Amino acid sequence: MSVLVPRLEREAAHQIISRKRDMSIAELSGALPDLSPVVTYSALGSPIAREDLVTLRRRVVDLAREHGFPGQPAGLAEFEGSCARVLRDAVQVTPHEASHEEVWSYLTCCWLLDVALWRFGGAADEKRFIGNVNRNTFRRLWWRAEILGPDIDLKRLGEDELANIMERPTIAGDRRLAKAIAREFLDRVDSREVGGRSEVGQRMQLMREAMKRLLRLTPFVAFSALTHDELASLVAETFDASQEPFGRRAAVAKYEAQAVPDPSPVVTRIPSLSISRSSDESEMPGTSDVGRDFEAVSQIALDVARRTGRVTNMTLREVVPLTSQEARDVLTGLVSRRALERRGAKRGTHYVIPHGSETGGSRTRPAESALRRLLRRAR
Amino acid sequence: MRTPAALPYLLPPDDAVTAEPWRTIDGMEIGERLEHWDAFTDVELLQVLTVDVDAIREACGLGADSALALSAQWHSDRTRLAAEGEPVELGTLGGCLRAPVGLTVPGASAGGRLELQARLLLRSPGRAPSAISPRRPGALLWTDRQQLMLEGGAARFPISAADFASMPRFPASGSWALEWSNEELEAPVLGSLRLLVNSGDASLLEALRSGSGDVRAGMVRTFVTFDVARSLVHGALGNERFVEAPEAYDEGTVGRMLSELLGACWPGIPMSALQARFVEDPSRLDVELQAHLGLLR
Repeated sequence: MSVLVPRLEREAAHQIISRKRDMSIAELSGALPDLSPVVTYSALGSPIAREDLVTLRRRVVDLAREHGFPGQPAGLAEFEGSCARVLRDAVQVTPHEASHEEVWSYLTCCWLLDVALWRFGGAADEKRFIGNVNRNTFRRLWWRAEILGPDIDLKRLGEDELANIMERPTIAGDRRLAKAIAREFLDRVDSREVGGRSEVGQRMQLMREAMKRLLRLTPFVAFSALTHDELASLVAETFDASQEPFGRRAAVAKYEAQAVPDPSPVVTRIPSLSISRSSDESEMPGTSDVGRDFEAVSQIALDVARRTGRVTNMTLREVVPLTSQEARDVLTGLVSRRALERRGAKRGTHYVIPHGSETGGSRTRPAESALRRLLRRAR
Repeated sequence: MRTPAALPYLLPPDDAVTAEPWRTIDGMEIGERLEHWDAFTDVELLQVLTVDVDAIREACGLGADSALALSAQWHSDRTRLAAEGEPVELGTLGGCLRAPVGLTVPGASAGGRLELQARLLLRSPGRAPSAISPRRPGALLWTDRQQLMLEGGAARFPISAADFASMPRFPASGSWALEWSNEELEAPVLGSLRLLVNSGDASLLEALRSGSGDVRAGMVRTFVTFDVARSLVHGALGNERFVEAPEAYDEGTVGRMLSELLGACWPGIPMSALQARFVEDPSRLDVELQAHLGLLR
């Protein structure tokens, strides 16, 4: 069973923060951990051992000391990059557990409030101390390490650069994409295509521009379905376009025919009939059967509509092996003959028998026999 | 209202792909909520899709050498994580095709509301797509979305695995122990009451996991349920303060949970009468509890 962290309700966290945010760091450190609040746990799992929390606090405080704690903070990007790894290593919970606000409220308010106040100051937004998804001092660090994994050096990414990746759910939700972006960005920084480490403005500009372009693609590209190479190439192409000088049009990417993967073994073919609306034997010799097929399928469509109150492209195809275009032709033909009325739109499109029309414009009702004929022909 | 994205390429008609309902791997159609889910339960789902690839190629201006694929994706609004199932390649096949897409949703990474997406996407545009055809590998041509709630159903009893061998107060071969105090009735249920299950007994742990339909597992769960309920009932009726004012406890507290448990098992019977029965004829109380829980039926 997985490890559970105690949970501190928002109101209790709010009270602790209100009470302690104006205390001095030294005074606060002396009063931690605060084990007095009432806490709860998730129903299933084993509560985290007290010694593990003691170790977590010791490691985070030691790291903070290397960066000026409890005095003036220095090298915060390095502190946060290292702290993210310490948190991920020491708080071995599942992403499910780590996605609860109360877990991070507990760790912050009851064990690490002095470090959080040192990092952001007593006047900071309360969300830095309550377990807010993007703002909590430690929650955001844990998730950076979780999503970007051990291969990305978090110390080399600035706060704005990390926020650009992590605060966009469509990007951060796909670990592979988030890592590909971070890796591509750092590679470009390394190759000095962006300028030196001190050129913060250029770096920020590149990351923001690239993220804008990637986000524009998210509604119509299945990033997670791309192969590793395709994804890396798409991200690189986006960064290339983002680095084009302003006013210069980025080169339009060319998509060549790719190597086509073989069909998966689970794919099966559905036998299909070809039908035509024409019954003019002089124009299309040998198509008289096809013309009759069209009429027979039309009768089937009318029969489905009579029996069930409506017929759709899909329900017609469930009865007769047709393509969606053929089914559409049949239904459109019946609408033009006023045997059916079209209702709804797009995926809600369906067809009904018009009021006052018992037979839908036809006195014959050969549905079953027509269906049998069609199925025989399919064989 | 959010404006739907206008895609910069030709799309097929919606009915060119037909989606059957999502089902569990044993064929059960899923509804809007998945019962018995917890963060230890991986969910395996399948959806069968029927694709009229000829109609799609024609509508999108793609040649017969263009390649398509089906894929499925889940996204959890609790963890904000998403992942893709194994894509199903349609290659350059023509006609009308049918294939299942599958997903495994790991419980540890999910929770809250799950969005399931089945998608048809472009693998390769072929040699001669039209000027306004989809061209980018991975371009989405059709998407079907369904929501599935994973949490928010019946409350679960707090359970932890614990190694009894390392706990001096329990014998190493013991099975389970209910940790609680009938004196701390204002404490939250999820903070002060927990069923410890001996992690040294793997089969017991497995039996207590939700969803197992095994007969032995069912028997074990029934027995543990009765044992826990009996401990709680005896503890509650042994606390004078609770018997005097069983309605005095807030939502989510142990006291409220006990009050609801006793009210459900013995509806309409005053707490003082139950306490008298507990003192004078405790076996009758136990049998009544067995009857209420439907033990071994």
